[in-house]
Amino acid sequence: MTGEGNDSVSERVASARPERRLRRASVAIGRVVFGDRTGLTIWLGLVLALGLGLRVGFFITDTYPIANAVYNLAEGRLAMRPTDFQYSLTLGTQPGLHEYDGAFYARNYGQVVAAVPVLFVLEGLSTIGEPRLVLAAGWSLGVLLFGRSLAKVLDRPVIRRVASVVAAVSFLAALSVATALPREQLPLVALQLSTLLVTGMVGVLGYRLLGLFHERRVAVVGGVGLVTATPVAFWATIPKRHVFVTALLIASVYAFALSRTREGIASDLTLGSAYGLLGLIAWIHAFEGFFLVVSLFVVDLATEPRKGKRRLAITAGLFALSLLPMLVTNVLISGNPLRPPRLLYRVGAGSVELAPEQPAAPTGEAGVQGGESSSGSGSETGGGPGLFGPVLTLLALFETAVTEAKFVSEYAAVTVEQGVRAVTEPTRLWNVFVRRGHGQYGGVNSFEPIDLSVVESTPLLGALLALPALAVASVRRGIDAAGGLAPRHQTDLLVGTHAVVLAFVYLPRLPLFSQLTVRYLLPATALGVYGVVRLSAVRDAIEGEPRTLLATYGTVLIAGAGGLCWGLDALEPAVGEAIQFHATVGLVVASALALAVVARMVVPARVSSRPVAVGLGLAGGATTLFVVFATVEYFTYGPFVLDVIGGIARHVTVI
Amino acid sequence: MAPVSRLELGVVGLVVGTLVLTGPVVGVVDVATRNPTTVGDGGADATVERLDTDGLVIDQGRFGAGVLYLRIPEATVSVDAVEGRPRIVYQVRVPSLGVDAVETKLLTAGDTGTVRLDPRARGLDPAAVDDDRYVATVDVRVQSFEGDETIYRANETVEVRR
Repeated sequence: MTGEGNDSVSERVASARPERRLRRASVAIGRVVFGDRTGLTIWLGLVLALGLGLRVGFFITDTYPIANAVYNLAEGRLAMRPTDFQYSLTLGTQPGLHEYDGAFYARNYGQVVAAVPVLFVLEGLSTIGEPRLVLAAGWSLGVLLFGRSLAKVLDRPVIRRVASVVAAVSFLAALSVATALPREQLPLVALQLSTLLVTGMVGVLGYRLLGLFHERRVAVVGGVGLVTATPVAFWATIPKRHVFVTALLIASVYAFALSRTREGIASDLTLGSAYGLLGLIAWIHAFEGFFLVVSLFVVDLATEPRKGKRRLAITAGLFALSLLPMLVTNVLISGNPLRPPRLLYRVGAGSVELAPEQPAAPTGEAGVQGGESSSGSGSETGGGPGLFGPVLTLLALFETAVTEAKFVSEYAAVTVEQGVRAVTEPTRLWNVFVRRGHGQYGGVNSFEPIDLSVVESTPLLGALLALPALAVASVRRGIDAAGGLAPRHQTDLLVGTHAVVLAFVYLPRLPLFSQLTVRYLLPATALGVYGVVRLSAVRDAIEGEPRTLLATYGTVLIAGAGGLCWGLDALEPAVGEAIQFHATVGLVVASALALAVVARMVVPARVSSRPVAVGLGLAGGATTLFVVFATVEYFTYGPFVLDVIGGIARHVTVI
Repeated sequence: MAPVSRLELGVVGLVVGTLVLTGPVVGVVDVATRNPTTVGDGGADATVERLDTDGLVIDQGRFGAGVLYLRIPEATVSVDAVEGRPRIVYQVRVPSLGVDAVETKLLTAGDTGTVRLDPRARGLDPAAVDDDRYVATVDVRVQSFEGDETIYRANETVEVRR
């Protein structure tokens, strides 16, 4: 991440040496991924901090088939037989397992494929060192890198010394308390690590997106807050798809924003990338990808109705390219490029997913042929001899495409219709967004009310209550329609549309058990935080009162942690009770923040930025505190990957 | 080279060197087997010091948790003469409510003193709890691959406080 201040002479000299060239290449790649050194620092900081909370285990049973798929794909197998399962050997215990032609498949293959290289690295390093110590060494070396990069960003060389000491001490501590980490766990660890690495990117992308429109401090606070002040941090090491989708979605919004601020071919390429990144979401969850692409398409068309031929070609080309991995995966599984695993026969319990209900797999190893007469036939007709072969294949593909398009559009229509109905149900909206309460649990999770609403888990979103005030102010000022929307406002429109679309399609399925933080809406929640930072009152607070903000956040963490330890020890609450306590805190804090922001926006002469900064610190701190306690105390689903943390957690026995 | 860089390089050397030395290729010391995490052979002398069964009640969830909870009291067990890797098992069962709560603590050779076992309260379906009293069995055992010795057993009445 160097690359600043090279004059042309030294550049010419540098390019002559291979190692310099390698260095320059890595700097170039680093620039594309992280943007600048600050981006890299944010990524390292988030990954290292959240890595402390990595527990090796299955938080949620949906992860079993995904982890099994990682293990099998690394072995070169896409189709799994029951003897190929590494984790949870029975079929009924793996929600999200699908069957086709006698073989089993997971879903979210984009996520599975991302974990495989991580697994190869882990396995490679484990031939040199103990797996447990490999991970501890990785963390310690990461701290060294973080120290170097933070020292440069803040221009405080002493940080490097501190980081060196932390790295050495933490590694020696890990060495003294190391327990065995069985090699069979590595595919699961790889899946969790890949999720963690992507979580760091959510922060980086948030920083880069906000950095396009605002000063650095706002971008940094916004980017970090997008992770630590939202449940993104909660899902950082639980390998569900939501963090992946969130990262790709924010990356797509960033690319869209770039396309609106750049000129010429750079603009075309970034617009194409905006579509392409959403195309990759389809590889993880086809229907989420579908609805998000529609939402981008609508906003893109509305804000830029005319496009040149080159722009159209590049956009279409990149989008088509991004769909290729999904199409290939589908062909390899069922022969039908447009039928993702989610639409194949399910094994086990009924689905609550955003996908048409799939029929249960017929019992027995034999046929999965029935019921899919018109689709799934691509590969069978493909083998025709002679000249007619390719023609027949094309015809079959065309037929498949038409069938699937009809199927998808029908499903989309049903989903939208259900969404419209769900929006008119106040109780549902209340339970999803404001107060989750304890309804509709059934026997799931031992009757424990462990789920939170959107605002309970992300009180920061309370600031969005100021949106109506903002709308009134805009109308009063008169929207300058001349020349269309500015790039930042086009981006706001896109973010708003995405959030509404996501809420819309998921509402009919919510509230639901095991959502913890309304995880289906995690990408929308993250976009909501972008919206919060775009509020001028919030930005003024970050720019004008950074010390108040940081001091409040820090105080909440320290005093809150102490208070919680004491209170939980005295009251000995059950997990559900503790989580409902956090819910109450979240609602109170969200109200306080909302009040401060609205007051600041309505009567700026009388209310300063200080209360807003305090409110932001409280809201962010409340979520971080919840995530920390959830990870350390409430959900003990596996041993920490860093044994030292496990030791500390054992000594802070709260519940 | 600046002193800071030397310090950093030293840390890298320490980390990588130790990793290789303790790893499968060189394998001077097997660090991971010193700290076992699973039960093995062995045994221990153990007696229950305190287990206040009055604390075994069913009551209403607090903080807006609208379910009933079976509260399970903390058990303290004094252990001595630990050999191998046995574990203490603290089990509370309420068969008519389908509750089987187990808390375990692994012991390692040489452990003496007091071991605390404090299981979490168990969430119950409010609709399923219609009696005023339930019968629970409380067990404390010392368990290893070699044996399973019960050191405490009691049948208790659990009162429902609505």
